[in-house]
Amino acid sequence: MTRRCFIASVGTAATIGAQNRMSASQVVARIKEKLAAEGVVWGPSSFDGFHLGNPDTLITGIATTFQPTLDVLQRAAASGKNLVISHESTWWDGFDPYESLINDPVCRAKVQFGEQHKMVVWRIHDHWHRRKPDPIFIGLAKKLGWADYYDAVNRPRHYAIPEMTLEQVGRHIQNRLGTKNVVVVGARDLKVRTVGDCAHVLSSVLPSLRLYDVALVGETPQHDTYEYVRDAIALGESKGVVMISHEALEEWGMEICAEWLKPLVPELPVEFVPAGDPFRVHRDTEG
Amino acid sequence: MTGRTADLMMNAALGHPMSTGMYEGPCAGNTQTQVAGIAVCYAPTVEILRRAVAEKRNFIICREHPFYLHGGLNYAYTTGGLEAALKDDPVVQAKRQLINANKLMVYRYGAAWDNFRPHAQSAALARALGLTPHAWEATNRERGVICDVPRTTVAALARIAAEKLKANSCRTIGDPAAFVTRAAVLAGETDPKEALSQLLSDPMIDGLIAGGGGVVDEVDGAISWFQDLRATGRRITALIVGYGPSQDPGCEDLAKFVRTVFPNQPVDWWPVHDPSWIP
Repeated sequence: MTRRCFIASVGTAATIGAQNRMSASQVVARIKEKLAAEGVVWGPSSFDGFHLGNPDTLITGIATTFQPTLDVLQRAAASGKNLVISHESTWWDGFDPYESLINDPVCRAKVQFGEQHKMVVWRIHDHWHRRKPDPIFIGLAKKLGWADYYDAVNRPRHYAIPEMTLEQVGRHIQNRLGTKNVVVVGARDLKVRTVGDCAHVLSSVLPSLRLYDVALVGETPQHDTYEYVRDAIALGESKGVVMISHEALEEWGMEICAEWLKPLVPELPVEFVPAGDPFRVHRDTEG
Repeated sequence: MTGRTADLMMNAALGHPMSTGMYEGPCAGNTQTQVAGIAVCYAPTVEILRRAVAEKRNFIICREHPFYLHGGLNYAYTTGGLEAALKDDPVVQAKRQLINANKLMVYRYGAAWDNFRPHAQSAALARALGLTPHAWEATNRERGVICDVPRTTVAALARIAAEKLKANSCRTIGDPAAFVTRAAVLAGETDPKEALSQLLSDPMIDGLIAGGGGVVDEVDGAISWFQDLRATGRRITALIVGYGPSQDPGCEDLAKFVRTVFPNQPVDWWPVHDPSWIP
């Protein structure tokens, strides 16, 4: 290839590359269109929308994640992806206000990192949950290897599993999710046939506890959920609760999101960037 | 002395305005019952109530609500709907029956105690772990305390916590092999993140010892903020000992205070064991 031909070919590739690049707004428009085709019409949400960066930014790649931590942003940027599509919040609160922390060094560092790397974070929480069946919990069911036992339709959603003890349930979850961070309240030898999946707070745990043997919950307040279960057991009920991290409960649904996105934006690389379980169990590193 | 009178005396001693604090003060039982003896605890569990009956302590002073109504800064998220969801709950009904049938009274002074002595719970937690909190300014209203730690690893601190607090489910955020020389100690949750940011503002602090990850008002707000703090390059590791185990030591201090309010009553502190375990 002559030098002139090489320059011409590079120029053509650059032009095609520029033509193929989309803005964050254009990516989001495609997502909304596809969701609408699936029956999830874009509507009001206190959560969903742009939370960091300029929506007109040209996108070099997409990272889906559960929690857009600074570490996730750093890993996304390192792999050349500047649009992070997240399930949870950028600014550490469900509603994403950051005014209260605008002078906080951590907040400033996150803003600065976003600006330096022309990053955009767009959050899809409510609308992702509104797909049927909810991909967040389908993702968990698959990860647990319990998809065949999962009833995602009837509320509260639950698993009807082959009988095992509560301790075996805990170990199964540890092994399947790849984390020791599985905290249990209940008798180790409790016979478990049904496991309800729940969100976080006691009001969301109660429906599962009333109908099923065990409630599986993501990082619940211990001062009410633990105490309720403790009392229920003391009063003679055969119940248990299994607490895992918010990430371990829900982030598999954003892995599904990456696969769902790939055919929608074939021009762009799309990758799931796991946030990972924030917690480690100390005894694993005892020496 | 009736429960009502005891409540007035407690509020007077704590300087607690009666209109503040969610789910505080009398929570269960007939306030006109005569006080026969006082038990102080973190949570008025069914086991604690049965012990109260057996040991004739019918006035229960606690940090947590007997019917799981914690309250919080963001009431709509944490407790919204819970009262309604528990209205006909069989566990609540059975517990209420246990209280009423045995003429027990359950009084909660969580916010009142925290307002009276903001550092008390965290300082008690620090001391229970063998640490000595720095002195704090009288105007400092933070919940947490700061302690210099003989150079040790987070894993070693976790072993101490497991032993001293009988905490079954210690967890860390960050490398358990990391060394700690100065720790912020915070009983209860790490939320709100604004307060946690303030508590950790000294860059020499390389450890955080807390009760819960941070779920009172934000599902994981303080946890993900802490992760981001670490991602900025700050060398700091968290040890999460469990909510109840972090609050239990402070309740012993509360019991000592209660004895000064009711010098003629028997006052016991009853620890509440950690119900959790990790497979």
